[in-house]
Amino acid sequence: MSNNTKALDIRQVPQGRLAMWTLIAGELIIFGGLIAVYLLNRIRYPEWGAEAVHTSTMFGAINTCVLLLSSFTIVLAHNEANKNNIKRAQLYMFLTIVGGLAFLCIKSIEYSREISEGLTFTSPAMVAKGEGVKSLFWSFYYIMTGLHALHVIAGMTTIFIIMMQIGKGKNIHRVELAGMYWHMVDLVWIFLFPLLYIAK
Amino acid sequence: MEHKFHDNGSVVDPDVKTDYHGHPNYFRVLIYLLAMLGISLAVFEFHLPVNIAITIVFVVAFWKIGLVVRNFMHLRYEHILIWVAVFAAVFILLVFFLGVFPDVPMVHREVVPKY
Repeated sequence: MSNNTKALDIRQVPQGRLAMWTLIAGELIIFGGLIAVYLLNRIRYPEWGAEAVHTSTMFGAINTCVLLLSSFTIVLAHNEANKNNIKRAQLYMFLTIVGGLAFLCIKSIEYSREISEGLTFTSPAMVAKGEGVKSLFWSFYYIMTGLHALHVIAGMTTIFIIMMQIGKGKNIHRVELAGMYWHMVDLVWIFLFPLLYIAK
Repeated sequence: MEHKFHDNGSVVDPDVKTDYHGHPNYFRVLIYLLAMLGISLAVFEFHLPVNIAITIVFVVAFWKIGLVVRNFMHLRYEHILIWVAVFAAVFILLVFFLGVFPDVPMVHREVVPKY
């Protein structure tokens, strides 16, 4: 077998990683499609910029920081798992879950502020004023951030299950796979943050 | 088959590939990511034209995404076909976006029903 042929042998890639990259490519289409439709509407309705003023850049920035730090802790967990330092890997995974919880808490504070101001799905107050197009912004906002929050919960659950499994010496290679999923969640937020919180 | 054992006596999973890829300096990557978050927050303090400020913010966002994918997800060490799979997804998205985009300025706003 020539070197070139060997370099192209996909069988060298662990199956778990291959499956996870396939999942990530699928998620990319889901979130990418949603973001593309949002962008098309944003271009069409410049008044959405005035609606984005109501989102809190400070909360968004804190959440970005939290997710970046949790991405760092999960990659450290993977590093420690590779060295068979199971206790340390579990500690970093626990910190990642704490990061996810902090993210959800901050997001729920944001949601409660926005909902109390009447900024909701198809906001009745806006529709009554003939500003239904503006309420469409909030529909996109809640769908995109809500879908992202569901992925955060899924990621936390996965990390928790794997954290328990590696304590019994099982499925240590899955720490990296859970980490890849968590990084994907982080990536989506990195793009949602300027889109919803900065571009006003 | 010979087994390896953890400190707690459990068997090390034989499927673990400890040397599948390299490990960059994760702490340095984190510092870059936080610095770029700072840039995207500070850019509006310089009173640049809005279009330029937004362009900078999105360039920084893409850069951050690149750093996470390459280093934290280890795509830089990955097989060429994995790159192809990921970029195929991005390409499909671009085709979708550019295919629909011309309709946005062409259709008059009045065509859109009022809520």
